[in-house]
Amino acid sequence: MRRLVSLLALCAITACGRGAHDSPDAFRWEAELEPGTTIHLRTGSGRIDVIPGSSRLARVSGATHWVGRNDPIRFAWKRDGDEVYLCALRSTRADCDEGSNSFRDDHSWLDIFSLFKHRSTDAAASFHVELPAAVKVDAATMNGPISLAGVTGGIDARTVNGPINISHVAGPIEAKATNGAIVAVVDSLGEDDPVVLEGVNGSMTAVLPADLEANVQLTTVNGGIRSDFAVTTEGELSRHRLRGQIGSSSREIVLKTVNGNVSLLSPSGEQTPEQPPRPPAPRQPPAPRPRS
Amino acid sequence: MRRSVLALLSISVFGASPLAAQRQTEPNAFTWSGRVPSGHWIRVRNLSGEINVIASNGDRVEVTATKQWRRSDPESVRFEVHKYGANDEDVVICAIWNDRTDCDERGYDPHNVRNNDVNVSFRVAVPRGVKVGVSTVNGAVSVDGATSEVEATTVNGEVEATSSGGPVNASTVNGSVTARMGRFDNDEDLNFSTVNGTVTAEFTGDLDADVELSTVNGRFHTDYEATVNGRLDPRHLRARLGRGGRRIRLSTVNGNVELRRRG
Repeated sequence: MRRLVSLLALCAITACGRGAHDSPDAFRWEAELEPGTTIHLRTGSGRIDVIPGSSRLARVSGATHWVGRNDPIRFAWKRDGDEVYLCALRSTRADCDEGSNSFRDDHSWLDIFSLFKHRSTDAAASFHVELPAAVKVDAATMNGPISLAGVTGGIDARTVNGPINISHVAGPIEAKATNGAIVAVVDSLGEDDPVVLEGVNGSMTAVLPADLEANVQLTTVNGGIRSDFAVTTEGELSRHRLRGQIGSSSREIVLKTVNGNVSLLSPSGEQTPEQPPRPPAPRQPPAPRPRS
Repeated sequence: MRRSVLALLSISVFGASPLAAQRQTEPNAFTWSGRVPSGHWIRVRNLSGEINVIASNGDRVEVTATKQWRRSDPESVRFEVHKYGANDEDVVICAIWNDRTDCDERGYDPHNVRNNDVNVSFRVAVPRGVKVGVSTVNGAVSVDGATSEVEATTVNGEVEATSSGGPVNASTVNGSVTARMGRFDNDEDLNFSTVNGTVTAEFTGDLDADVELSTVNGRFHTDYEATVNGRLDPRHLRARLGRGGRRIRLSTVNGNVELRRRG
């Protein structure tokens, strides 16, 4: 009897019976997107994955995952000229547009009388996108990783908790992760395309074309700095910051974190000195040798 | 009250005792004057005391030494002059504290000098083109007015070495190092080092070199554009200046490392 009571109590505490639910096809959207279009992806909690498509047709699928009761997550989209917004919204009052906030819940002062309303949930909504070439991605989530592959129109990616993985892309790149590493492998950059990777807790790694020319700023507070590219600098050389020039371009390369390493790498993984190192010089005759 | 009076009385008795010997000075305890051709060395080796090098108006090297002491016998320190090199045209002058001291153009070993408070200060005037090599153990080294190569070392004291030509090499252990040089032709490696103190090397004009800058507790600064790559070691920085070339090492443990452009 005691065992049964204990089990029931444990069940009440751990919310057993609140099973995990997945809805992998909660949302589908597709449309032809011309080069120069920007697709904005917004979710409060959940991952965002973008892979290259094979045509001008963009295919977006949304999936939800929750434990216990089903939160009122709804998907919405809006097209405004060259801007396409796709959002996973937890608020019935929220709009899906430039100012949308996917993280806002439907709270009111009456929630204090509710036994259920103000509970946090485990609900998450994820996006999976097949993207045409030359379309820019603007992806934002609060809790979840972002993976962007083959994007050639430019990238703006932000997450609070989760890593950002960018691979084989082109165009300007800006990525920010508060708690998570960022890795960007860039195949090509336009003449002035910047690459900005910023974080707080996590390493920043950029693999950039071997013929890179840029103005670089590599910063970390607790971590190491590595550059496969020869960076020319002057003034104070800090162990936490390297500002300098690669070649003559004014393109900005910024890799910045607080806790983590900062690495600016070439595709071959080899350092690119301006000249091969010269052989050691012959030794000098011994200097005076005080021995007391 | 009584105790305080006694303490004051005992201090005054000790203060007036012969144990607190007066510092005595013997100017010109040693002088040497001679011709050292341009491109040859004048070397001065010392143990306790500073060395100051200045420019000479004439064509002779002029060396004077001043002794200072309190209790030890000033005659315990003597001076030797050796000539060496092709045609004996290079000169080394040594302050010798005991008979076991080894001193020649290659180095200086005073062999365990104890309880000797004799201090020798050298003043060296050098004509244009003469190379200067000066070393001491306890005392500062200052070279100003040299026009050719300079080697300046000490253990306890600062080193400040300036040449309108060069190259200059300078080192100490406890003290800062400041080396300034003009233009010079060879591409020999250069070393500037200390353990406790800042290391500053100043060069004139453009510089093609591969530099190694080391400090454990301090900062790096360069007036020259420096090209770095690879992993940035927070304590040891390798960089290329211009097209690269001679190796220049600036190292300390506690202090900053500075590479400055003159003018």
